[in-house]
Amino acid sequence: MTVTTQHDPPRGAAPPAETAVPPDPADLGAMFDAYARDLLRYAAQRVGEQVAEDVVAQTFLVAYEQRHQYDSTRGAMLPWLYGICGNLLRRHRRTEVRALRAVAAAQSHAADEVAPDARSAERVDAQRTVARVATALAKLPRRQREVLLLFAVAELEYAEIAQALGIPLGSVQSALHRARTKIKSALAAPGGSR
Amino acid sequence: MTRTDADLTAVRDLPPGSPDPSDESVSRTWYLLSARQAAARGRAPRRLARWLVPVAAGLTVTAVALGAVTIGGVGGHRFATPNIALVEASHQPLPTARGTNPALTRTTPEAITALEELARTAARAQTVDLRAGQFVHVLIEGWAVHLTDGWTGTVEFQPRELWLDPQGMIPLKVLNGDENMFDSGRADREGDLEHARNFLRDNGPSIASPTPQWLAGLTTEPQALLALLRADVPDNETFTKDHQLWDAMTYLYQSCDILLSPQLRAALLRAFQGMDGLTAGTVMIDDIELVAIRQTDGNSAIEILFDPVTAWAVGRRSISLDDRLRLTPPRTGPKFDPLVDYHATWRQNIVDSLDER
Repeated sequence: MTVTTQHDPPRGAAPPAETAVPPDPADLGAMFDAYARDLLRYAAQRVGEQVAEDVVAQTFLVAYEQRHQYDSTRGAMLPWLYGICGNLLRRHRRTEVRALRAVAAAQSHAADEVAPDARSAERVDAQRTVARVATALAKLPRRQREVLLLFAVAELEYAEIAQALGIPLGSVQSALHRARTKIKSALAAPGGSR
Repeated sequence: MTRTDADLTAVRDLPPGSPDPSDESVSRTWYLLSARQAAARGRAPRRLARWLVPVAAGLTVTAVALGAVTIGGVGGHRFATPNIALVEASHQPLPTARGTNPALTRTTPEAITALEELARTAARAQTVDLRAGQFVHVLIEGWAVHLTDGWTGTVEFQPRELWLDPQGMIPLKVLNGDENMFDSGRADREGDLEHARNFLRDNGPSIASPTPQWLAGLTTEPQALLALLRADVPDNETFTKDHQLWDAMTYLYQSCDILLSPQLRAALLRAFQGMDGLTAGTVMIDDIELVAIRQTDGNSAIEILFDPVTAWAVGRRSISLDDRLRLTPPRTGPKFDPLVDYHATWRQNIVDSLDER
């Protein structure tokens, strides 16, 4: 198989329809075109755009190197890529948590300003809610946070999350339940529902 | 987005206003990917592919350097010199900014970038299994200066083969060419072995006497790892701690690189970013490019050579910056540009006996 290193830059088009035939993992360019946006969205949400680009580029290189380990009969390609991406993102756990705390601090600080009218009061409530959600997310154990983000941001199904993380389906369900409970508690705390 | 529960949308919208990836971001990612792949393929070592990448065969071959400059020399011309025409190095100048230790310069951004890139590569490496009763075999192609007086010497080929006991990385057999150095009559083999084992027993494993268990237990948090390693090298009035640490690391890589987990290998490369006195360069062995990370302390500079394709440490160089030193190039072998006190590359294997390579 030849790697398409001379592949043109992605066209920026929408990802292929779900019914499209998944790309050959030996075709790096096709794999990138199909899934780069999904992975970038997910990674950028966790570690910011700059680190996300680095992580996603590395994800595809690792995927290409490990293409012989990919077994389409055991699951779709995207969860497999999320699994690689997640492994690479673990190195940036501190960045991720630091970013969440920064969001919480910024939103909390903004909310502390006096609200002169009802409209501003609503905005303050929203800011406080964001701060609480960010804090709750930062405090989640790593596995719970990964499961929650794969469910909420990547919109993977339970079985796909299990495939991505290499854990049993039951572990996904329990981790997701615990994580969502904590986030819901943060949302329901006094002073904030959106 | 199809999941619209409040908790999920709240999580998805963090940080507020985060947009979908832009076309520019997608393009940057693609070019980053392409550049890395092209670099990796372009650097794919022709000779090192044979020397350093039998991973596919199930055994990792890695880096180890033996010894430093051998003043007085021990000969060692019984092996044919490797078929290398040119060893060419280029290195960035020392910066003027001082490091956290004012006796040393500040580690350069280029060195930090190079180490970080190696760390990312290192994390993708494979782990080698070491079974009880196995040994680490190291084959070294080195060139070392043979000083004829204090400041004059000739660089000579110095081949070495080592069989190491993984418990303390104690040499059990050392070949100088085809001569077993433990049979030479000059060496007190039993005494050396006993001393090394007593030292390990009395002091425990360390950077100087590592064991697989000790390596496996090292932290992979870079700052803590650096603090631990610094604490493991003695104070010295001649050289700074970081210079001694770098020197010690060459020997650790020499004996243990093959045993490092991907996580520890990457953590080490990140830990080094907190050191002082590091600069970056390249060493070309014919058309094979290696990354050279140099630690400079006064007139002494020590380089560890890394293979950018695998992030393995594959060699060591010692460079005296004292302009009183006069070196004569080797009579046979490659041309060195510049000529240095010591230059070696190596490979490692896990073997079942002291006769196996």
